[in-house]
Amino acid sequence: MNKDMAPSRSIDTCGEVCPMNMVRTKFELKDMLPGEILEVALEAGEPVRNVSRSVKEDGNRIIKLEKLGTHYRMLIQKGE
Amino acid sequence: MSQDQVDYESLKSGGFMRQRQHNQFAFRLRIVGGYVEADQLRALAKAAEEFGDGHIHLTTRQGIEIPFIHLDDVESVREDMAEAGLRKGTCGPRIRGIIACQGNTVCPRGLVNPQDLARKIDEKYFAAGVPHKFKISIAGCSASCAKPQENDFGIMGGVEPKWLKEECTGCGLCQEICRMDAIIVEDGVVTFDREKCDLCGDCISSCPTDAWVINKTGYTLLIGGKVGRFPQLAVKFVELVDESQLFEILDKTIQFFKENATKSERIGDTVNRIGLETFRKAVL
Repeated sequence: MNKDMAPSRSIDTCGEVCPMNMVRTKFELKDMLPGEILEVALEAGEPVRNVSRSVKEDGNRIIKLEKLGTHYRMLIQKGE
Repeated sequence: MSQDQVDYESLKSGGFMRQRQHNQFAFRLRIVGGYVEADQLRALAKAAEEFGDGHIHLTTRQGIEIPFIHLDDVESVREDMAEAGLRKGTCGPRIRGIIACQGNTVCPRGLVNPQDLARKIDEKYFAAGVPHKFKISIAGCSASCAKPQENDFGIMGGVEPKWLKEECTGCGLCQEICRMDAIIVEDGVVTFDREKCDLCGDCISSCPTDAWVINKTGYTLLIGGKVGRFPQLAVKFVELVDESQLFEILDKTIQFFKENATKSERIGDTVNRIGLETFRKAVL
């Protein structure tokens, strides 16, 4: 992985009930600096839908989405 | 006023409904899309305490009724409510109070403004006489929280998405989030099945690189829904019409209902009897 893409923080939201996966992602991003990357593990379906929408609305950027078996790994870059 | 002088029909059309208790009425209000201001709630509380038994009833159609109003107080309640900007509701064979979700005024998913549309429809059609009750509901998106499928005339906001190849990174997020399986991403190539798409706009609002954009926003219309003893869901008969087309279609639908319904027939039954294609030809 490119050094610039290395996440500075990582959370696992698998098993969380909506909207907690979105809320935890929001809180984690709140404490980060612009440009920093957050790695989030998410279950497929509703969590991916809710988190990706909210991340975008808050002005952050999803830079990578990977399917790892039954869950997803999302890399989010904190916006300005 | 003695009981034999009471014109129940006129009371009913004016939003006063006779209760099983002697000379007691429930005063129904004309609430549009469930929108009530704080000052109006205070006026309602005052009226319920002064003229009713101290409570109000929330109806299944986002409406409000003040029960236990004595016949002698009917006019006073009407005046107090009018002062607070709350008008009388309706019942019987008329166009009923309009249901609407908050749509894009509040909800992150809302694609249109159902509150604004509800006020316009209410101004134009509220309590207009029709062969049987006629219920309208407006949902801001295909999630259908306002249950347009249960109404005689359902309205649903929608957006048609368009894929921009040059913006797409092929990440596959849109395929994952699409509930209708309308998007397939294979080796960076996106295939979009318009027939399957329910115009919810999730792909647009979620795409990390804005490779999905709005091609067209509009209203999807449904006809013939009802609950009651013989329930049936409304069926979609046109997609993505604009506001002026919507009003034209609604005009024609009401006309169709007046011209074709037998006595006490809901429009769903009229359409079942005459045929959906005939209805479509008449209103589109």
